[in-house]
Amino acid sequence: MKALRILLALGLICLLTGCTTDNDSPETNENVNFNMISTNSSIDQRASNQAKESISQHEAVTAVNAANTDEKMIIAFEIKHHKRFQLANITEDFQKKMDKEFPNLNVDVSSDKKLVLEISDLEEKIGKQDISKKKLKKEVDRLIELMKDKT
Amino acid sequence: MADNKKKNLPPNAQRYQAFAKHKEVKRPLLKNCIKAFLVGGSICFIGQIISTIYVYFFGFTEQTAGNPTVATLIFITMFLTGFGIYDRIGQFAGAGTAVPVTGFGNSVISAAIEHRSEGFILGVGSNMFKLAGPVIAFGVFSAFVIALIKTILIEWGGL
Repeated sequence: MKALRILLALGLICLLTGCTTDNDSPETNENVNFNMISTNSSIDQRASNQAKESISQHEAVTAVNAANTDEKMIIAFEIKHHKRFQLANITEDFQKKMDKEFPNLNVDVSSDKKLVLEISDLEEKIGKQDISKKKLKKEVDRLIELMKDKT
Repeated sequence: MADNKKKNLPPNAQRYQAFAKHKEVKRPLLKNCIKAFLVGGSICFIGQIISTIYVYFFGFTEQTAGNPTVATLIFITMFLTGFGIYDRIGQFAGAGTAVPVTGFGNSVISAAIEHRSEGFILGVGSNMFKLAGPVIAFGVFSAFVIALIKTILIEWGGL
């Protein structure tokens, strides 16, 4: 009986501490892992760079990758592990923020690890000018499809 | 036995009940919980490793990696059950092995093995879901109830 009570108390503590949303004021985080793509690359990535800078301002973000074509932009980010309880909210926030910031682009935000990996590969290719505009468009479309894939 | 039933027993039987309760070996509840926690956690840890492999080396996203991960875990359980290893782990860890999806796999596979001698259709086919059947039935039913609640909340609750 005693053991059960201890377990219940422990469970309750975990539940209560896990679900509290902390409303700390956002502060700039200097350890965010992201690379700017040089602007002399043949494909314009200024929008992506701007988005990365904007998202990296959030304190929970640890890494952010982005790539864009003339019409579409894809962004993937990683957050600190203990902030994952608020992941859905943060993603929604970013999506709204980006939609506002880039009204002429079709922006998709994701926190999926796969997309972080894929987009960082894509960024590398763009940086090395290893990819044509047409191919980039195809690749971005593929990644958006991957992002929306549920099963 | 429930307390209100105990009151109706003759005094001798009541005394016997008290004596039996006193002599009964106490279940090591905390120890069992810790064992279940550790073994169940390890199973989930292995699942996480498999899921990460699917994300890194195959074309799955975190969201879609769930299905192949479950399939792989059940496949591994099939071997462990067949070789009699899963039973041993289950004996040691109890609910730690029964609650994850591997426990569900084990309950299907062990029933299939057990009734193999009765033939494929009336033995394996009809007895395979002896243990897992209730899980599916109540799982589907509770999913239906939850969906109903969600629909009501969205349609009339304005969520």
